[in-house]
Amino acid sequence: VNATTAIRLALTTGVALTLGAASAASADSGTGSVATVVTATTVSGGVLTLAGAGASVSANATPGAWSTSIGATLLTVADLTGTTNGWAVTATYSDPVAGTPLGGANVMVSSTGVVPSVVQGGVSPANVALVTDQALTGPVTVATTGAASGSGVTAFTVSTKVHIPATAQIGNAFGGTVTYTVASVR
Amino acid sequence: MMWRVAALAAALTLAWSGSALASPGSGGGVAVLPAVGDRHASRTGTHLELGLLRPGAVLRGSVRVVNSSAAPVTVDLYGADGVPAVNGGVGFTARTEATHRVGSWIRLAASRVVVPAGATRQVAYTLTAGAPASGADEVGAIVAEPLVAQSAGLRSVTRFAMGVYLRLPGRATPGTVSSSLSSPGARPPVAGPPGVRVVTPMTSRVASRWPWILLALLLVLTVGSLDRRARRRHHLQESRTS
Repeated sequence: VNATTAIRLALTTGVALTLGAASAASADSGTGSVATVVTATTVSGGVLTLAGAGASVSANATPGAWSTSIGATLLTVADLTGTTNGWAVTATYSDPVAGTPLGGANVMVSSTGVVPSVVQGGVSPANVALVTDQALTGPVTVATTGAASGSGVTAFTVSTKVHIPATAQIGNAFGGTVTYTVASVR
Repeated sequence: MMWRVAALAAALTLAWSGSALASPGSGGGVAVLPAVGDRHASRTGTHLELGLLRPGAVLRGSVRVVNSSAAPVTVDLYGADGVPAVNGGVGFTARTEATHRVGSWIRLAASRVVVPAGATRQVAYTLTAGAPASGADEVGAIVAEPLVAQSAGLRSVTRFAMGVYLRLPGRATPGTVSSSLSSPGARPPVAGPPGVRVVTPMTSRVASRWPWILLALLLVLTVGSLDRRARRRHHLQESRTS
């Protein structure tokens, strides 16, 4: 008797397990042995990533006043880990390598427009906490699923407002870096 | 006034440079994970759980830097301190910021790696617990930041942080409560130096001492019972003699 069966399981983690069972028995009736072989093959390991697209904009900012929203940037969180962990994206300000630092207190960040991927699925807008006009005096959580699962591909838009110091002089070049960090929620 | 505004507008060009990651929606990018088989990897394999570490304790392991995008990426690697974030949760210090806690305890075998498209690079790390015993939970991260061209103005970059959690022995000091990644949005930010220290809540501290509390109660009950018996005997003896 020779029989071979194969069952293919595709898990949400992106890991596929191939289970093969092979059975063999001797020709003599009444006696025999059975051997089972199980193999597991990793097809691909899913990870959590953050991708952002940039745009160049100019701010027509009045010294001493906050600008309108500028630099709208689409951030995409891809959580293909297959775990039930959520994710959080934080924004952090740091001074520029060259030029006059704007300072975190002069940069505000907002997040809007959560869109789950139609193809790969994602987190619905109701399950993502956002932020509005928060100064970057320290790290700011701009989007998070909290402890709930963040599985799938989810996009949202971040934008900033800047405040040019009233004491700014002609020719001053201000700058800074806003770093968006994605981390898995514990 | 208008000429001044116009001049400033020209001076402030906000250059938003996207990261070197794949385009939005592709799902590609850079991530850091504990090495396969790392005994300190979390149950979900997404971060490091180092447990209780005595000051001076040294741990060694490796992390995997994964590039799931379709292009090679140059990545800067560094340790970062956890910092309570506005809106809840924990942020991490920027690459240019000084670290004082977990971030400063992490040493990586490479500070920059080039990861081909769809490939993984393994990098060894050493963590030396460097703080005095405080009884606090500490949060930091090993960060992977794709290298992007420098530009003037206000620019944005993206990065990935793999959480590193550990606990220091000792008695927790009230007043150093901050937040953790386990409870985004649950607590307001707390001002203080970089580094996240979470004090065990009062209920947990009571719970951890319940055997001693029970023992003390038993002792009080036993002493009370012995005292009552002694008084009863004394009364009996007095009544017999009278």
